[in-house]
Formats: sequence, structure tokens, C-alpha cells
Amino acid sequence: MAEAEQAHFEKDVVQLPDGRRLIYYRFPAPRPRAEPSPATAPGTATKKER
Amino acid sequence: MSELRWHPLLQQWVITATHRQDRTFLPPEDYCPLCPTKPGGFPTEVPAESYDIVVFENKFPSLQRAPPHPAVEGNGVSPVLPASGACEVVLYSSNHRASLTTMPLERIANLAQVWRDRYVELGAREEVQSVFVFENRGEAVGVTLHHPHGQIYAFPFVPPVVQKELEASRAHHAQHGRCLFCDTVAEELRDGRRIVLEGERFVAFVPFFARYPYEVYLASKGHQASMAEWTPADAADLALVLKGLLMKFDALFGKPLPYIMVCHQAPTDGAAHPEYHLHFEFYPPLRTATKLKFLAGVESGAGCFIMDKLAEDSAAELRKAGPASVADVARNE
Repeated sequence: MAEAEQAHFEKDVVQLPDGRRLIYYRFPAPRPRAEPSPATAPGTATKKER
Repeated sequence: MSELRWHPLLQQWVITATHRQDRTFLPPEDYCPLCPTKPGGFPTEVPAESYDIVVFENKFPSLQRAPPHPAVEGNGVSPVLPASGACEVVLYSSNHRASLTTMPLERIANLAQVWRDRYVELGAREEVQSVFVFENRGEAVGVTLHHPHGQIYAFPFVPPVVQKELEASRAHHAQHGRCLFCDTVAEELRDGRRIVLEGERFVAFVPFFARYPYEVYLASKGHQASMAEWTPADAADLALVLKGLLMKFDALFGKPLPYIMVCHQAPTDGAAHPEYHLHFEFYPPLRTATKLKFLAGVESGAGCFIMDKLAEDSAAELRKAGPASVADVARNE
């Protein structure tokens, strides 16, 4: 798969005092949750679903 | 002492790692070595006040980048090799009390991207033939640290269970021109009785041939040999099905269900493996709310599993427990 399709994260590699490797993975802050649209809000099933 | 000793009868490697006897065993919550290091507090494994997702080389590894020379010599039937490879710990969250069941979907999808990154990076190492992602949850399966974490073993050989699946997949592909696991998933979807939860791209089911009472396979519906093929959309759908399945596990007996979760995927031995299909396997050790399924004489000594339940009944119980669908999982975020 193309790299462009992959998620973006930061990766910081550090060496611990005893020589082991530790990697911090940092991801962008979570997206704000969208308000459910009337079509998908609970209790508003489509005609077909009813 | 640490080395690989060859088992000539079973044709597989045994890893000796005597230093693991000294590993940290069920410390009190205040002294969790996987929590962030607090200002003025004792130094944990992670020298930071908080973190998102962290991966580090295990302090008590079975396999190492620079393994010691074997302390014993092999013999005519059992050669010995250095225990090369890697053992990594993956910390899912800095929150000590979190779990995959309770984490937000976005974090689980991020974790999937970390697994993918580790597969690609570790698999590129010359000595690594297979990257094995897994999680043990609960003291019933030998967990010694309760902080939410999984592990990764980068083996210098293809482990025997994956090797056996590979051989079966290769034979099926040669005979029918199709992927064995794709055919297995198609049969399960066609039958439907053992499906537990279905997403757009992944599906969880109790396999027809389940060996543990609540054994579940979670697999991509389309053909994927390894995590290297995952896109963010795959990770998002995996998070939905994975979280939903674990919510079902915890709802089954009204308490967190211990389990072993493993991921089988294409080896990183330099060969192409179009015949192999990535999938997760879950082995909860319970057969009822209070009784363990022991691997006793027949299972351990003969390698033959005796199943205490019908796979169809287990799947029906799991379908009823917890969220009814992946839409329910998303709604409950």
C-alpha cells in the first residue's frame, strides 16, 4: 500500500540507560466527535430499517 | 542462560531463558513498572510523565538483538543456536486501569498502526523470520503485570503453529488455486451460525473446528497476508470488530474474561506468501464462569483437543452478550 495511505504518527526512539530501545508513538489529537445527523441518530431509523 | 535448543522429535526450537524467572511478578498498583514515571516517584520502564503508545525492548527477553553465546553445546541430534530476535512490550495507554475493551476506538486503531509499523520494521531485520503480535490478559493465563499491554516476539524461525498453517495453506493453494483461509471465512459467512460480529472489512467467528469453548477467530474478509497491507480504513474497522468482540467477552460472564490473543500473519523470511491470510486467534481459558479449561493429558500429551461445547452454541451465546452489532459499538463510544 502507498505510504500516503498510512496514518500519520510521530516516532521518537530513545535509548534507555541499560542500552534497550524505547519508542514513543505519538498520534494527532482525537478528532472532535461529530453530532449524529438526523438520519443516523438513535431512534431515527430509515424507512427501510423500520 | 539463553539459547535455542532443537527438539528433534517435534522438529521445533525450544527457547531457554532462565533469567525470566526473576521478572517482576504482580507488583502493587502504586509500583507498576509500566506506568509513566511520576515527578519524584520511582523510575518506571517509561522515563516520561505521560505517553500515548510506547514500545520497548523487554527487560527479560527470550530473544535478543545481541544474544549471548549459548552456555551449552548441542549434540548429535539437538543442535543449539543463539536466541537472536527481539521481544518487545507494547504499552497501549498510560492509564493503568484501561483495557482494549474500554479504550476509545481511535486509540485501538492507532495501536493497529503501531503493530503494523513493528511488523514492517522488525520483519526487515535479517535474522527475523516471523513477527508475532500477542496479548495475554488475566492471571488465569499467566499475566504478571496488569497495566494494559501486549507483546511482540520477532522470531529467528517460523514458529511451528504458523509453519503448520503455512504448509496447509500452500497445499490448498496448489490444489485449488485459492487461499485456504479465504475459503474458511467464506464458509463461515455462508453458514452464519458461528458468526459473532461482522464489520465492513473484518469478521469474528467461532471456527467450525474450535478447540476452546469460547475460541474466536477475527480475520479480514478480503485477502490480506500481513499487517503491511493495512490502510487506516482497515485499522478503523479492525478496531470496531476487536473492541466489540472484547465487549462481548466481558459481558459473557459479567466480568473481564481472561484470554490469549495472537496474530498469525505471513512470515518475513524473504519469500512471498500469497497463500497465507492474516488473522487473530483468541483462546479464553474458561469453559464456564468459574471453571477453567485445562490442557491436560490428551491435549498436552497427544496434541488432540477435546471440545466441551458446540461451536454453534458458543457463538450464539457470544452473539447475545454485549453489543449487538458494530453500529452498537460505535454508538456507545
